Amino acid sequence: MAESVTSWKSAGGNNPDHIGGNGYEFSYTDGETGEKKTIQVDYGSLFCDKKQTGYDCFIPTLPNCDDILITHGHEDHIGGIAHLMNLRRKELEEKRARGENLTIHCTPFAREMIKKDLQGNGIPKEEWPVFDIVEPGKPFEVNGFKIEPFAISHSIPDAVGYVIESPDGTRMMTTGDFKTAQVPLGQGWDDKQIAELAKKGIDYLFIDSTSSIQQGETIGEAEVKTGLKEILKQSQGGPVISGVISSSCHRLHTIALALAEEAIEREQKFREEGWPAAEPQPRVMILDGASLLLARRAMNACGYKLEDIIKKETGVDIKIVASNSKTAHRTPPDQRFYVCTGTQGEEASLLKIAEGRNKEISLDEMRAVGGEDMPIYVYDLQSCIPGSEAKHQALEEKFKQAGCKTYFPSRYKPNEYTVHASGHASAGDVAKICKICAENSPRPTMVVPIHGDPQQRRNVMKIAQENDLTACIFPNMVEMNSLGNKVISWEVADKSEEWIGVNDLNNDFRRPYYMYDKVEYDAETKQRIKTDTYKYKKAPRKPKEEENADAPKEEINETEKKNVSARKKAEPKRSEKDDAKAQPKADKNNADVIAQEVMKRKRAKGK
Amino acid sequence: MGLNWSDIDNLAQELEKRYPETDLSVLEHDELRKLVAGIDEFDDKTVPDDDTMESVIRAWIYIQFPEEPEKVGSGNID
Ligand SMILES: [Zn+2]
Repeated sequence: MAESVTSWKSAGGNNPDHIGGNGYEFSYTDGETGEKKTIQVDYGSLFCDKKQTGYDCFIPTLPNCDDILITHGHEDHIGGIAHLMNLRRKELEEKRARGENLTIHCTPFAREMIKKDLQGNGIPKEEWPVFDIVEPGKPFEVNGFKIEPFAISHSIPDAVGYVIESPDGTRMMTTGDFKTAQVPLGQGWDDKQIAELAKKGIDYLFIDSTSSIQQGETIGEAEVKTGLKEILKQSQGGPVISGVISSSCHRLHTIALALAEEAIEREQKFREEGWPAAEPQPRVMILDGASLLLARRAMNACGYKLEDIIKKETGVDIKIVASNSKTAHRTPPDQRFYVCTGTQGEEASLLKIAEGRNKEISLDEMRAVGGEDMPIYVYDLQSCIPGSEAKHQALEEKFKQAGCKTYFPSRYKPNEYTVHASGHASAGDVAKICKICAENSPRPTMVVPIHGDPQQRRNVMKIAQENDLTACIFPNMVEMNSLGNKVISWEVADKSEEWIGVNDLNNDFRRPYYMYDKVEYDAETKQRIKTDTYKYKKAPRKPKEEENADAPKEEINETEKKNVSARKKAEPKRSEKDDAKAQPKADKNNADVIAQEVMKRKRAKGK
Repeated sequence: MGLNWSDIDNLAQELEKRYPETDLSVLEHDELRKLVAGIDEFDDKTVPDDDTMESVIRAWIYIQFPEEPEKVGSGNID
C-alpha cells in the first residue's frame, strides 16, 4: 500500500525574486484510496510596473480547489480572487447549479476588502463566492483538514494565521504576515495562544520573512502615537495634511487617539495658564480619497467605529468626516487634520492637492481664509515603498514648492520622529515564534521561511537554527509522510516560474477589461515569456451597461489588442464632469462662514 | 425604462448629481434608500440586500473621489 502524503506547495510568494503574489497549497493524498484533498491559503497579486512588463499585475497559477483560507485583506494575499472568478466562471457556474460553491474562509475585515475587489473588478454579485467567517481560537474543518485560526498582529485589522492539520495528523502552522507588538483594533498576537497550539505539536512552521533583516522586535502603534503627538505640537496655527495607506486602520486609530490626547494636553496647559476650563477641542479628522472612505466603511461594518473607541479610551469626542462634507468645508483651516490617499505619489488625493487639482482640498482656498502666511504642514505617515522613491520624492518637492512644511520619513535612514510602524516581523519577532514552538511542541518543528527575498529567508533559517529548530530554505514544495516525521521530497524553487499575467486592455481601473496570459519567468535571465492566453467566459452585462460599454469587442484579435492598449493612456481617465468639479470650492459664502467661525473661536479663547 | 437597484453605476451617477456633499464614509443603508427614492427615474419596488446597497455606495465613492488604486501589499511596505 502506498504511503499517505501531506504536501505544501508555494504557488507564488516563495519564488526567489519576489515578495507578493502569495498562494500556498496544502494537500493530502490518501495512501489507500489515492484520493487527493486540497485547500489553499491566500491568493494574492504581485504588483509590477506595466510600462516594463506589459501587465498590471501577476497572480499565481489558479488554485486547484474550492476552499481558500485568507490570512488578511492585503492585496498580495487577496488580489487574485476577483481574477479567479473570471477565469473559473464557467466551471463555477456549473458547480453553483449543482449547489456547490467556492468558499472563502476569512475574517470580517478581509471579507470587506475582498468584496471591494470583486465589485471593483466587475464580478456580478450573483457570482460572488460564499464567505465563511473565521474567528481566532474557533477551530473548524474543511475538506478533511482541521483548521485552527489564531490572531496575529499586522498593519491591517483581523489578521490571522492558521494551524492546518492534515487527515494523517501532520500539523502545519502558517503565520501569514505578522509581528508581535500589540495592535489597537481587534485581537492581536498572543504568546499564550501560540504556545497552546504548539503544545499539540507543530511539524512545519511557515514564517513571514519580509522584515527579518531588521534587528529587535517591530515597534507598535504606541510608539507611532508618541511621534505623531510630537509633530502635532509643532504644527500649530495651520492645517495638517497627512498621507496614510487606507488599509492601515490601526494608523487611523493612532491618528484619532493622538489628536484626542493632544487636545487634552493643550487644554490642560491652558488651565495651568489660568484660562477658563473648556472641553478639549481636537482637530477635525478629514478623510480624502476613495480607498480611505471605503476603509472607514469596512471598519464600521466590522465594529471598529473610531469615534466610539476614542470616546471610550479618552472621553473626548472626535469628529471624523469626508472632505466633501459641509462639516469639512466649514471647519477653520487650522483645525483641520486631513488624512489622504496617495502616500507613494500615485494619482490620488495628495498629488492632486500638491498640483492644485483636488476637488475638495485647495491650498489657495485655505490661505485665502487663514492668511497668506498661515503654515500648511504635510506629513507622510507611511514609509516609501521600494520602487516608488522617485514619485515619493517628487511629491514632497511639489508640496515644498507650494510653500508647505513637509516631513516625509525615509525608509533607509534614521528619522527624527516615529510616524510609521511596519506590520512585518523583525528578527526578534521571528525568534519569539521559533522559541515558543521549540519550548512547547512535543515533536520537532521544521521552519520554512516564506514571503521574503533570499537574504530575508536565509536570516529566518539562521534564527530558527539558533532556537534549536531545523529549517530548510528555498523549497517550493515539501512532501512529508504521516506526522511530518519524514520529509519525502522537496523541490527547490525552479529558475522558471509560472504566473498569470493580468492585463487590463482598457487601462482604466474603473472599467477594466482583462486579458490573462500564461507567463513564464526566468529568474536567472529575468526574461518573461508569454506562452499562452487564457480563454474565459466574460461576465454578463446588463442592457444599460452594454449601451455605454467601452470595452473592446470580445472577438478582438492580437493586433487590435495592441492598438487598444497603445491608444489608452496609463493614467486614469477623468471625465469632463471631474474636470468641471476640479475647481476649488473657495466660494465666498463658504469663506465667510469659516472666517466667522475663526473670529468666534478667537473671541472665545480671549480673556 | 426606469432605474432599478441593479443599475449600480447609473444610480451612483444620479445620486452624485443630486447629493454631492453626502459623506459616504458613514452613509447608512436606510438613508441611501431614502436618497434613491428621491430620484425621479427610479421605479424599483424590490428591497435591496446589503451587498447591493454597499455596491451602490462604493460606485458613488469612486465618482466622488476618482483615484488610482493603492498599490499596497506588494511586499516590504507596511
Ligand atoms: Zn500584509
